[in-house]
Amino acid sequence: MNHLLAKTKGRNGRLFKVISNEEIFELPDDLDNPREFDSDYKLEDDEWFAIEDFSEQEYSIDFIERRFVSAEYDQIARADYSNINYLCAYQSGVYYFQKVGSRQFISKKLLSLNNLTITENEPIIVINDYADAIYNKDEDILYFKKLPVLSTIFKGIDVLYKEATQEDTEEFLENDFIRLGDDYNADKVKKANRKRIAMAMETISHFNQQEKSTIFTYIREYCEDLEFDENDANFTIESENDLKSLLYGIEQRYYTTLLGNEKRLANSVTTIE
Amino acid sequence: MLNFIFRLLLTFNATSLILVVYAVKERYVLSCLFPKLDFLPDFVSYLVYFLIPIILTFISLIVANGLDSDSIEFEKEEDKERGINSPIKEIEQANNAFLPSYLGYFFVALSVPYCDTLIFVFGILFIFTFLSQTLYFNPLFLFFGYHFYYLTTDNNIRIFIITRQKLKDPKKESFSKLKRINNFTFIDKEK
Repeated sequence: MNHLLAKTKGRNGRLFKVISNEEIFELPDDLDNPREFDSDYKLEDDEWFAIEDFSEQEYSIDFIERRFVSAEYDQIARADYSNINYLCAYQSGVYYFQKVGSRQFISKKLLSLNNLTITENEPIIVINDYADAIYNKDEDILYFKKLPVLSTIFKGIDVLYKEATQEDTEEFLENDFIRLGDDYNADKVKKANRKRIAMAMETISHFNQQEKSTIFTYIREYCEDLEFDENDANFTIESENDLKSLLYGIEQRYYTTLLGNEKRLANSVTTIE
Repeated sequence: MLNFIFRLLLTFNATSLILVVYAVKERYVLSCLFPKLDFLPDFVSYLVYFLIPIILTFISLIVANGLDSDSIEFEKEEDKERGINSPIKEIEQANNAFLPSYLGYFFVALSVPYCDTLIFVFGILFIFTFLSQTLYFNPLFLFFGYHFYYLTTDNNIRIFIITRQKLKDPKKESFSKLKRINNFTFIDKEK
């Protein structure tokens, strides 16, 4: 029997049962050509990344390692509907994961063309054509297309991000918001920063223009040492340290304590919800 | 919503025998309500009273088909044949677990002196049975061939199952047509 579960957000988030007996996702027919994950590789339409021996990886979750018994999970309560982090469909030994972001959660006004009335639809969750990740328990392989989506489902899976290549590093440093100092260039970027660049490039690609300028204001607020040119709207990067400050800023690692207003840097980050 | 009504129905079925026992004790016969039925012997009235919860139980079994489905299954069909990797670890019969509470209900019904006391006592029992969620033991299910079991799953979670199957060997049992009454109680519609 097929089952659909939902994981709720937050520290006390757990898995609930949603419905049974419905086929939610179809098994894609192009899983037979998997590729090992490589952050530089761009997948063809009919390709999937695969992680073998997934249950032995650090970022695997207990839920897929234990035996699946739907009766063990409590029925989801109405109050939790809007609090879903991801959906997981269990269909004959295969787990399908779909992240539920604000984009999948829709509550809209509808204009009916039959009788020209405005109705507000009940909130719905859009089920994508393809799951974000597919786990085959028999083979112990996780298939996916985009790694960033999975980071909230499998905590710590971002370790798979490799450091940025020389090309990526150059490309990143050519961004409009960066002005390189005279003695600093892509060749001087060390390993730690290359890793950060790989992540920051992913992060910044999701920002629109306005979000970018918000982030820059935020970085200036915390990194007073980092030189910022108002006219050209760029940061001057003269050393590894400058670059690090900027990259931390893009990842929003800076914060101010609630009491005492102390400015701090988060050394490592875990998403709570 | 269906689930809520169903649970109300189950609670009523589980507790309604108190009303029957009380009616029998007080010798309320049908002819009190319908004088035309005066010719009937008393025991016919008592049988009719007893039939009401049985019919309601039967209805509740039909309503149960509309509840949300669930299952406790082997991950692979061949595992079941070979009796390995069973999802169930332990089976415990619970048919007689309801006896003490039922005897309690009966003694209450027999010793309550007035009708309003009965209504009050019945009300309290009804609420607590409803809220306790696990005491849906209704001995009338036995009439329809159902038995009660506690199951412990492979992941050490204990659930209560109402089923027509005779369960004994945890390695071989699986349920593909369960209906969820609440998060601890399931009814099996296999046969």
